[in-house]
Amino acid sequence: MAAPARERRDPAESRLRLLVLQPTPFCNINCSYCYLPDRTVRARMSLATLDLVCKRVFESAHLDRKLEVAWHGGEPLTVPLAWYEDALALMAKRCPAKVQLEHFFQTNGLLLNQDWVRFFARTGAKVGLSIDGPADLNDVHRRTRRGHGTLDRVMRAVHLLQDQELPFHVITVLTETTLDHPDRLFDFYVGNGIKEVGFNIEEIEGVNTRSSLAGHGMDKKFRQFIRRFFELVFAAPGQLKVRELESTIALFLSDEPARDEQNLPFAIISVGHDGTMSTFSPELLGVRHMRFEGFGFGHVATHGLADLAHDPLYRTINAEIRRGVEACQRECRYFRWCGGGAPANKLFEIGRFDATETMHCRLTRQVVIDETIAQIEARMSGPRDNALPLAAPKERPQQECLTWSSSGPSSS
Amino acid sequence: MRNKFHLSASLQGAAVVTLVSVVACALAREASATRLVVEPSGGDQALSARVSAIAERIRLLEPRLLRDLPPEVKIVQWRNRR
Repeated sequence: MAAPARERRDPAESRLRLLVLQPTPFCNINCSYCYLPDRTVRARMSLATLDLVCKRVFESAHLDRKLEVAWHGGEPLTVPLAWYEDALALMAKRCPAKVQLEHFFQTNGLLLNQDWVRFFARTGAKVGLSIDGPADLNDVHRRTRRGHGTLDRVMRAVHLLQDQELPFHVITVLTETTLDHPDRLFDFYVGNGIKEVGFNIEEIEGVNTRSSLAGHGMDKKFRQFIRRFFELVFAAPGQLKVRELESTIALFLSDEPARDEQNLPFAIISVGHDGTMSTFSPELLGVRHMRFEGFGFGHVATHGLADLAHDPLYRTINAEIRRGVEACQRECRYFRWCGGGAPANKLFEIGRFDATETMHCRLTRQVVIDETIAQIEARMSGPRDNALPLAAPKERPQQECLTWSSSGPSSS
Repeated sequence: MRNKFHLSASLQGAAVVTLVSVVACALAREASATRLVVEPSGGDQALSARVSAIAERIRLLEPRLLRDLPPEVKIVQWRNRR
């Protein structure tokens, strides 16, 4: 393929970091909190559409040296493996030599088998499994269309990945049901050899217009859950990598204020199965809102990424998002470690992109920041009367301490 | 970032090296070695001052940790990323 002409780019603009591709809107299960309106639609992205995606993305001046490609549905594994064999080969062929592609699949795991595991191993694709904890926590929300629980089948996926020593992470959606069980959830991960976890929350978004976490007293209950879970993680360092803790500590150590890739135009490009393109929060693609007919800003057949910036809808939404971020910066003491929040959550909780505080930001930013600080301070100050209670040593295995060194292994 | 951490042999395969584990262990070593008494901070202190104190302490204990943090750390990521 001839090298495409590069779009001119304002150096102040953000780099494209993440390409979210929706191979299909279809999902083979029916989670109670799902935000997607079209998850029964069995449409599939064609390879011709994917070829146009490659053209648009790889010619873009927003392109960086590394691009993460997230295959995110619907359930991506409902599309046959053979399609992905062709799709990844096509993307590798079209990708400029200096750009490193990294593929990532977020899946419910029900269809994962040995063939998929071999494919992930061969292509280096990363895998995320969606699991909400033990059966009574997972199966109350994550069900088949016939109402059956899904934990048994996703745990088969866990074991298949572990048998092949293929790293994976788990994403757990926290609902009110989960908040009483931080210890059980921690034990579930550690007991099943799960090494990495990230917490999402039951969000008000798309067709999911209510959240069990929006009720009276839920902020306090959520905080208690996070406090206890973080205690357990700190008390057994090395047992479990928790995305929220890792990213928050890293933000604390950064010299620069945080930025949120969801409110930076073109940091994320989302492409629907039909070639519709969007940017900002990936959840915007394929959902509807009373104020907007949709959130597609162009189509791969007719628009380059630079063209999206001229779309009137994009300009309206971008201006409103910018006002929201600026308002957060003026009003919120967490802004330095937040970056102004997720546009999709502002819109679906409050009705506007220029809103500020949401339930999503209180729970996933403010509480997480507060409780990360509290855990570290408790260890900086040593045990004291007013410090956070630390997890009881006899209840939990104590982990050997780690030393960070470039000169070789060490422990203390 | 992961490859820059080194585990003792007994931990290989069992543990994941995380910022939490490095920070928690560094603070534990410091407390054990110096029996340092630190003025308690709390909710009344400005959030930024509390974070600055944490960052300063970690810089002191694990200077290489900061040097090797990837540039992505200043970006808050979409919820379905690792």
